[in-house]
Amino acid sequence: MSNQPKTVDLKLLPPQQILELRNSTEREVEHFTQSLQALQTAQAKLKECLGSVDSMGKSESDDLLVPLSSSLYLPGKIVNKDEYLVDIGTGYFVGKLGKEAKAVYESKIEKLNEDSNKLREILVQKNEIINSMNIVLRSKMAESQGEQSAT
Amino acid sequence: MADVKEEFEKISLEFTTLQNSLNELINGRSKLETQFQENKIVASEFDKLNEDSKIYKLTGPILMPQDYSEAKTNVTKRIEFIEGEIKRVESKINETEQKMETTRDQLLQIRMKMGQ
Repeated sequence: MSNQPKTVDLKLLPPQQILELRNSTEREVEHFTQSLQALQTAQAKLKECLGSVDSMGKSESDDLLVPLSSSLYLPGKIVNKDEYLVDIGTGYFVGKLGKEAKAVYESKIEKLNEDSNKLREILVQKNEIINSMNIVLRSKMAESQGEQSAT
Repeated sequence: MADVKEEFEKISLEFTTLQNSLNELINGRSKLETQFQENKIVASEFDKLNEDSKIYKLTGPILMPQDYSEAKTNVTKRIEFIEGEIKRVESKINETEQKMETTRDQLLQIRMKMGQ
């Protein structure tokens, strides 16, 4: 029981404190949900990169349009289809073959998957804590009402 | 009585400034953590490369070719720097927390005096 002191202590706390605790836990849940969303957007972007490498490998033609701005393009030809520059973070780009580039993205996606799973676990735990706090609060309220009607 | 009240206001003001600076420090700490993690990923990526790898650094809108060993030492140095910064900010956080503790005690004492 020592690993869940919160649920044990809860019944002894005054309702005011439980409320405060619930509010701070709710804020934490909000923060974690936002982080989870950010992770998912990042993952979607990485998957897009993977898809680009894949479709580049499959396409027969060497033609493509190079964007100079969001509304201005130049026709171009690909010199080497299996050479990519991969952003590895903090502004560094590394020349890689298609296979290596895909490996980088795949490992990153895998890492993000692990992180999101961890986050999901934490979220489930936090929601359980909020639920148990709600239950205690409700029983406390019922108790005090019972006392009032008894006197 | 007026003296006590004045002191109370002074100290509670001090307390809020301390609280604000603590929040700022914590923000800075989490930003440093993000940078630290990103640089660590880059460093581990560099470990998989060798002298023949083509490395570029994004400077403004253009990619500048970079030497492998140079880029690697740059990242290692930056990690060291960030680690130092994290230590510095953390000791400041501790310091501010302690100061907050003492001002909180002072506040409580004055409040007791005022209550009498």
